[in-house]
Amino acid sequence: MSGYRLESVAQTDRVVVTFDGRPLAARRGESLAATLLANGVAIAGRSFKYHRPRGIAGYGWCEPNILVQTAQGTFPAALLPVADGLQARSVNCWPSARFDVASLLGAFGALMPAGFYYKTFRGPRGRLWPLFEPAIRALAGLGTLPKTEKPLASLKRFAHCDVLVIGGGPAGIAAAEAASNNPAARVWLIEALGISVTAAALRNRPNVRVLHDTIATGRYDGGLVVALERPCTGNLETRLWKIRARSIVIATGAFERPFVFDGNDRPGVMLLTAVAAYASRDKVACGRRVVAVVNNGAAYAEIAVLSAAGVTVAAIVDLRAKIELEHRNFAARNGIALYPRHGVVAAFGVPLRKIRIAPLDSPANTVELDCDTLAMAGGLTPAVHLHSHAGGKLRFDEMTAAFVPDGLHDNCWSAGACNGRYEQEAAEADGRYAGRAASAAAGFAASPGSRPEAPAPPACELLARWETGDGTGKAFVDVAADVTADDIRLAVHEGYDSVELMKRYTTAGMAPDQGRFGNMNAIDVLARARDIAPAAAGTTTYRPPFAPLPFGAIADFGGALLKPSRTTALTAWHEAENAVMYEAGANWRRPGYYPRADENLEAATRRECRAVRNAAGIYDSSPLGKFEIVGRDAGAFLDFVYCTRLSDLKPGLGRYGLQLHEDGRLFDDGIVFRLAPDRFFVTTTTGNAEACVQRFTYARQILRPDLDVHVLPTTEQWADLVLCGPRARDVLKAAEAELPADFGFMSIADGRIAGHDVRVARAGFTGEVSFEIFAPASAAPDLWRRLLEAGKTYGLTPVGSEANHVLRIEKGYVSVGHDCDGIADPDDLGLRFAAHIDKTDFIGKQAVLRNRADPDGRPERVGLLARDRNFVLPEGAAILKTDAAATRGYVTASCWSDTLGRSLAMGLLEDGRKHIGGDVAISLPGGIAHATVVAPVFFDPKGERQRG
Amino acid sequence: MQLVPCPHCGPREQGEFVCLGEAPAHPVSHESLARHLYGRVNAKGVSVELWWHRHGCRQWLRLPRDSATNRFAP
Repeated sequence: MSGYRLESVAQTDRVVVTFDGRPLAARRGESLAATLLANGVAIAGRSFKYHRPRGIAGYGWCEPNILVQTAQGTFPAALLPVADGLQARSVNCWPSARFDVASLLGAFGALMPAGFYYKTFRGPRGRLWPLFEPAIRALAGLGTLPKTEKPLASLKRFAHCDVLVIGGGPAGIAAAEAASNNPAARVWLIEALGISVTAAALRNRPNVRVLHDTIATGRYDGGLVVALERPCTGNLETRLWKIRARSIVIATGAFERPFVFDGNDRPGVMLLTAVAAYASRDKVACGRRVVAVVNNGAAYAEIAVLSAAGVTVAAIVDLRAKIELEHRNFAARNGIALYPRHGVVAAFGVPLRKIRIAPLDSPANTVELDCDTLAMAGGLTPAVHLHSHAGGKLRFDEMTAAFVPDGLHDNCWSAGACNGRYEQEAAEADGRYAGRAASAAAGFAASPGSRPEAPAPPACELLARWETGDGTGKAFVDVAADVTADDIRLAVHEGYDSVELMKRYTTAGMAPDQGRFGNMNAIDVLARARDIAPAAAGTTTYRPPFAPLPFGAIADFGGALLKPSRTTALTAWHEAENAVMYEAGANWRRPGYYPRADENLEAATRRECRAVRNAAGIYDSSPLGKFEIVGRDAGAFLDFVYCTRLSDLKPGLGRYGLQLHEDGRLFDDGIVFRLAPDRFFVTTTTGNAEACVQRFTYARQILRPDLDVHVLPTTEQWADLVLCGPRARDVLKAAEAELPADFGFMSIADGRIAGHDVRVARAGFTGEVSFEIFAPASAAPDLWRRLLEAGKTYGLTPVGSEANHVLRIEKGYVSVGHDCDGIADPDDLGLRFAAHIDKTDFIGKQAVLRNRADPDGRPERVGLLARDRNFVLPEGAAILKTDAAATRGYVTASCWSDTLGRSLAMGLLEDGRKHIGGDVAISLPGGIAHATVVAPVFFDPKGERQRG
Repeated sequence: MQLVPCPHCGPREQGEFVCLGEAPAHPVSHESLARHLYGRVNAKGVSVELWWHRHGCRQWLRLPRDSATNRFAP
C-alpha cells in the first residue's frame, strides 16, 4: 500500500504531526487516518487478540482497525481531527506497529479458538486464571489511560428542541429543511463529519441550528439523544450534549459490508466507500494500484468516483455473472479488467501485495492479481443503531439483505439510507417526508400525507454472498475483535448457536466499532452454519454508545458542584477554629473534633469528653432532622408513623420515639415534642432526615389520606446548638437566658438567650444536663459566640461528633445505623420501653408481632467489656461463643472511655441478654480477644445526671 | 431517561422522581404480611406504580405504566 496525495496541501493548511515518533505532513482538520494514508503508513496498529498488523480500512466511524494513543487518551484515528503538533502513537503493540513482539501470538492463532481463555484458564479444571490473568490483561486492551488527573477539557450541555435531525447527508438535510418550514419549529441538525455538506437552504434559517463534528452516541426514552461534539478549533476537547427533542429524524446513513476470505484484514484491504471518500473528500489516494471486489451494481458509482479523482483502478472482481451493460462499458472505457462471477480467495503481503481470485463455480482456476489496495463493496447495511437503542424494532429486508427499521418508534423516524433508501433522490424524498412528519408530531405542521413508496428494485441487483474464501487461513468477520468465520462456526458447533450467545462466546461485535464492520457477516456465517435464513437468525441488541465516548467526556470533574456540601450556619466558625470536618447525613459538613496545638484525634476527643462530664460542652447538631407536624389529626398520624404512642403526650413535653420499617426493623429514632394540641415538633436522626421526608409524605398521602395533617420539614430552618454538662445551667445564666422556672427533663419551651428568640428542649445524647437550643439559622453564629463567651469561666468547650460518639456509648444509647442491622427490632435493641406494640396500627406492627412470636435466637444488644481494659475492640469484629467457632454476633460500637478509664463496646449477640455475665471471644485478625457480656449501660445507669 | 408525566408540574426528567414501584396494599394483616413485604405481581403490561416527585411538587403519584413498552399510559 502506497498512498499519496492527489492534490498538494495549500500552504496555509500545512501542519506537521508525529506518529510513532515519525513526523508526517498533514492538512489541518483532516482525520489522522487520512494523514496516515497520504504518507503511505500502511501498518498503523496491531489487532486486539492476535496482534496482527493492521491499517486503515474504513472512513469515519466505519473504520474498525486503528485506535491511536494521544496525551488525552485513546481515539479512533479516523475520527481524530489533525491539529499542528499532534502526537500520536499506535496501540496494542510493542515496541512499534511495524515490529510487535506479541505478534508471535498470531503464529499460535490456530491454538486460540473462540472461548480460548475460558476453556484454558477458567474451565472446570481451570485454576490457572489467577496465575495468568495479569499477563493476559497486559497483552489485551487498546491503549492506556492518560495519567493526568483531568485529561480532557470537556463541557456538558443540555438542550431542548422540537425536531432533532441526526445526520447531515441528503436525507438529513431534506428532513431539516422540511421540518423547519414553519419558522416557529426549533430544528437542530447533528452532523458527524468535519466536512460540511449542509445545504445553503438551511444556513439562512434562524430556527435551525447545526452542530458540526458531532456524533450521536445514543438514543434513550422520551426523545433524549446524547451526542459527542469534538470541536476542531479552540481549547475544548469535547462537549457532551444531552438533547431532548419532541420528535427525531434519524438519517445516519449506511455502511459498507466487507467480504470474508483469508487475509481480509491485511493492511491495504479496505472498504470501497472509504477508498472513494478519501479520494473525493480528502484528496488522498489509498494506493497506486486498486482492485475493487463487488457484489452489486451500485458500487460502480463509487468506482467511477475513484477513477474521476485520478486513482488507478486496475481491475473489478464482480461476484455476479450478469453485469449491467453500462457497467461493462464503464470498465472497458477506462481500461479496467473485469472478472465476472469471481470472488477473492485470499490476500497476500504485509502490506497487501497481491490477491488470489477464482470463479465462484470452479474454485480451482485461480488467478493472481497484483495490487496494493483492495476495495471491497459487499452492499450497504443501514445504520439502525439509534433506532434500536431505545427499543425500535427491525425487520430483515430480503432485497438489500439487511435489517431495516420496522415502523415508527417513540416519535422517531428513520429516513434515507438508514431506512434502506440508498439512492439520492429516494433518500431525499424519504427525508422530506420524515421532516414533515416529525414537525407535525411536534405540533408545527399539518398532517404530512403518506410516506413515499419504496423505490422499485434497483436495476442492478445484489448477489447475497460474502464469504468467498476457500475455508483455509484466517478469514475475519470482525477485524476489530479478531473474530474469524471459523470461530463462529465453532461456536455454533459447541451449542452457542443463537445470535446473542454467539456474540458473547466469540465477542463478535463487541469491539470499539460495535460490529459496524462485521456484524452482518457474522449473522450470515451463523445463518449458513445453521442452515437458516438470516432473518431467522436475527440480530443482537444494539446498545449505546454507537461510537466510543471518552470517559473524560462522561465523567464529571465538577467535584463540589456535582455533589455540593451542605454547611450549617456555623461551618465557617468550625473551619476557622481548625476543626476536622466530617461528612454527616446528606452531605452535611460537621465538626468531628477540634484539635489544639499538637493534639491528635484521641487526645482531642478525650479532652472534649472530659469537658462535657466535668464542666460543659457545646455541639453543633444543626443537621439533625427536624419536622413540624401540624393538624387536627397530628397525634393520630404520629401514632401511625411511630411505634411509640405519642398522641397522649402533653403540650410542652417530649418523648423518645421509634419508627420501624414495614418489616419490623428499627428505621429511625428521635424525640418528638408536642408544642400544642395540634402541633408537634419532631426530631429525627441526621442520616435519615431526607428519608423521613419521603416516609412522612408517603404516610400522609398514600397510607393515611384520611388524616387531617400537614408535614413541614424544617431541618435547614433551625440551627441546633446543644449545650450540655454539669455547668450548663451556669452558662445559660451567664448568657442571660429567659426560660421557664420549672424546666424539667424532656420539656420544651420558647425563650430568649443572649437576646435571641429560641426554642429550647431539655434533651440530649450525652447523659448530662443538656439543653438543645433551636435558633433560627440566621441567629446561630451570634448566639454560638455569645454562649462561648458566657461559658468561658465555666470551661465551656466546643465538642465534635467523635466525643459525642464516646459519650453516647458510655450511656448505652442506640445510634441508628451504627447499632442496628437488617434484623434487629426494638426489643432486640433493648428499646421495649418505647415500643407500644399494643397500639391499633402502626407501620411495622404485624412484622414485630411475628418477630415476638418467636423470640429465641434473636440478635440482642449487649455491652462488652474486653478482659484487657486497655484494648479497644475493633468495630465490626465477630463475636464467637467461647466453646465454638461459629459467629454469634458482632461488635457494633467501641471506644476508649476516659470517664471510666477503660475500653467499652456494644454489640449484637444472639440471645445476648441471656449471656449477660458470661464470656465471649472476639475474633481479631491476629487471634482472639476475650470479653465479658454486660448490660449496655456503662455510666450513670439510673440517669440521675441528666435529670439533675 | 424517561419523562414522567407529573399532573402538577408537567413532563419532568425521571431523575427528579423516586419510584416505589407497585403500590403495596394497606392495611397489613397477619395473613397478608409476607405478600405485603415481598410479593410483587410484576405484570407484563400496564400496572399502577407509585412515583414521588422528590425534586418537584413532593407529591406521591399513582401512574399507570406499561412494563413491556417502558411507557407511561396516557
